[in-house]
Amino acid sequence: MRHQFSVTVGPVGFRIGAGWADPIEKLRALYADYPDLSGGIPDFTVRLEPESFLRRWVRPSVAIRGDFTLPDAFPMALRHGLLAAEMGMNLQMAMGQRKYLLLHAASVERDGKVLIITGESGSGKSTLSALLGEHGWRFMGDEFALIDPETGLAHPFPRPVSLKNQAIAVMAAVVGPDRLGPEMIGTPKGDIRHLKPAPAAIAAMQVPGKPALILFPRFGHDRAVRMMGQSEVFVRLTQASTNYVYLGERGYSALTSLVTQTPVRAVDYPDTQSALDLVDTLWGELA
Amino acid sequence: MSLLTADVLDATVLTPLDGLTALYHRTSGITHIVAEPVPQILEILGDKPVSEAALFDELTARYDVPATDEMRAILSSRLDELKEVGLLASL
Repeated sequence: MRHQFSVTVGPVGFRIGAGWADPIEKLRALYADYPDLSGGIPDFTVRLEPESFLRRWVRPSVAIRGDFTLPDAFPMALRHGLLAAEMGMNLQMAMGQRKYLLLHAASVERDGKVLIITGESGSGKSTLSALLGEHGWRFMGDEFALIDPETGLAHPFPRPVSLKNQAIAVMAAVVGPDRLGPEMIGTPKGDIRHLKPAPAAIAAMQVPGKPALILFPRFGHDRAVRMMGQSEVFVRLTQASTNYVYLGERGYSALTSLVTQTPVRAVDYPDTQSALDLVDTLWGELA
Repeated sequence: MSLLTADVLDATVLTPLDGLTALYHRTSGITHIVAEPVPQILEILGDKPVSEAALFDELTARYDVPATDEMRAILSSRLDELKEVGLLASL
């Protein structure tokens, strides 16, 4: 590829190539504090290619390619190249990661213990983990929690947080403009702006922690806390994992250990302050 | 009378999760969530192949299961389901 960039996020090395300079320059700025691969071999390769030869110049659009490809994925506008790179990195992780059990979850750490926040898109896990990262917790990731089947420890994957719509203003009120990436308006996922994790979170991105509490949050409801049975948690986490089936018995052992050893609560919250209070209360009682 | 045999001893891993049990079937790589009396059935068949009648007698003797025709019918249905997913076979 004409333009290349490589970066390490947690235990994973990526090489990203593009047919244009612009997305690569933006990636370099966003990932300026992350270590590069230092000549190491990448785990995954992502390529952002012109959909066709002409499309490099005429209404340029980006097709996401790499070790794993979704054949029917729509190309994206070049001005959203940063989002295309992020989606490409997610895709490679979701389809190719074999070392860790991958949970679609955010995670934060305090005192060596990890809070895992899982739930469907829109549950508020990205915003909640980003906010906790500014309130005394170490941000470990907003997209994937990596569970090591051998040790049961959760490893960080602290990629920049992809803030969507209202979450952009929430976080812009908490962090300085130097921590925010360029605004992308009207992407297929709405308005997006990336938040760089705090420098300490990036510096500690190789340090795992022991899962101590799992939360299933729901945003936009009256405050409520509900117990969940282990079998319900197990089934929901198999659904939240992109590689549970691929890992076979290693995945089964990792997930049953996690579910039987970690307290879990479903929580509803009406606003972000309630969510922060709820996390503090439950963490004090259960972790 | 045909004997029932289970693909259990080295082929399954069972993990109790509250009232239910997670079951990983190594042969197929499939995870099942099962309820009573499936773990009990597999435990009995883990020792040796037995007939359906002998399995029923064993279940009523070991557990609080009434020896009624209704229970026999329930057991038959569970056995059919276990055969369908490959955890059980008739010899």
